[in-house]
Amino acid sequence: MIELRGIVRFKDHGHENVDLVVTENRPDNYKTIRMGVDIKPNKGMIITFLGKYYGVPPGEIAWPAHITLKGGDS
Amino acid sequence: MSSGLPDYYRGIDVTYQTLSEIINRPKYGAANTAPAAEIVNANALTEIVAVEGKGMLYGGSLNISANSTQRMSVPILEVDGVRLTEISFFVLNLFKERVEHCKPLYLLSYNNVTFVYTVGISNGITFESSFRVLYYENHGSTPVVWAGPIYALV
Repeated sequence: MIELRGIVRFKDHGHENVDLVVTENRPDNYKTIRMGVDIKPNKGMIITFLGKYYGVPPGEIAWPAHITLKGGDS
Repeated sequence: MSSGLPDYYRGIDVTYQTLSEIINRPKYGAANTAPAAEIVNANALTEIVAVEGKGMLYGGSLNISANSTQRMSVPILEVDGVRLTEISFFVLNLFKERVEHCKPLYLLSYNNVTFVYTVGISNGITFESSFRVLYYENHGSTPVVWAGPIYALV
């Protein structure tokens, strides 16, 4: 099971990088993935992205309760 | 007729499961950094770094190198939606807030001649849902702000 652990947004000379921190199948196996640049992701976009990245259906992506996205579905 | 859970459904039992030991330790999470650099907006608030998740800040810094004074500009650390610190470089320097943990963002460097200013991020600040590093520019210019928080997400 892939579980989202964090969403990181940081500015880089006029652009905004968006990274996702996930755990892969084990609760201590962390990985940081660059989702994109200059995007405003919502929950659906992130789940779809991770599903495609790992080749699993959206239901295999666990979303923790403490992560709520501003301006999107949360 | 049998009833109840199968025998293998039981809690941690060192004897039953023939475990030699059980280790109980904090979960640290994966360390990470968000190296940001941004030309901030004049006389406005700019978000430099935003992290959503649960974890802890290990440290890091925020550096400004400008062409003119930034002494009244304000570096901001917001944790779980609360601004923990919102003090200008001038005031930090005035009261010599140079020791880690005296403030969440403490002064490391203040030079109002070369216009170089640095604040450090205190170690051990935990967050339950998010943290952000922001900068309020107060002098009508657009300096470059570098921010590199070091943190772990659990």
